[in-house]
Amino acid sequence: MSGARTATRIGIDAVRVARLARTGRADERVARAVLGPGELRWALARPTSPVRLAAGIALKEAAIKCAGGRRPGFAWHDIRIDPVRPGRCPCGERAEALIRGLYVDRAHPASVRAPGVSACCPAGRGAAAAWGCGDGLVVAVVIGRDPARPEDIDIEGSAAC
Amino acid sequence: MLTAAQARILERVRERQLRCHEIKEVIVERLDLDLDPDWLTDDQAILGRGLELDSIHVIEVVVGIEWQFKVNITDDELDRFGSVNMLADFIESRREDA
Repeated sequence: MSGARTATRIGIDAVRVARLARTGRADERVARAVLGPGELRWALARPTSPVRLAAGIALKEAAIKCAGGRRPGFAWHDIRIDPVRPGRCPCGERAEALIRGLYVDRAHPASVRAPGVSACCPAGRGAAAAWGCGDGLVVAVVIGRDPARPEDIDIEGSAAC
Repeated sequence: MLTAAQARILERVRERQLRCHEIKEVIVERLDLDLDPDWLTDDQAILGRGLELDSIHVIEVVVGIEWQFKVNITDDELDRFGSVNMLADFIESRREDA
């Protein structure tokens, strides 16, 4: 049994896709305000782009919540989403399990790097994240650690990530 | 008959009223609000409990203001959105800097 889980943080957010269907397609400026160039290519690469755009915003909002709120000098582009998380890890699986429990089509793994959020696993390249879409609603979750408490690595099995 | 100084002041007041009206139009249009822009007062709080905007609303308003007034607003300048008047001050200061 591992120690207390006080250093682990979870952020969750939901965005209704219909809100982005208008602003995302007709007004790409909104997408550019939030997403970086690589994220934009991912978000706008498919006809389902409003879903991905909603996912991008929800992941970033979840990361803000995981960090405990917006920090001085906050900028959307300082939060970076990687829609493909290399390898599997217990934290990522927990994120996906949380999303699957929310009646979405399927859980898409991702990772997020953001000020105030550390990777939950020692070798992690970013905080574990996942998102999914169901009933017109995109839900995203980010699991990370408090960077001020690097000694508290306390997710069971995370050392194997 | 107005003096030249009075005419300049009057002109500035009119410009200010016009700017505040344009800001309200952007807010109403971007948020798709079903109300006359002039229902918003110049001291209307925009963020927080004011219009109860969520983050996507804020992005939409910021983008709309940037487009309409050709100014750049960074994410940490959102405290300038305290009210329509504060936003008008911000836009005017940015234009003077330019």
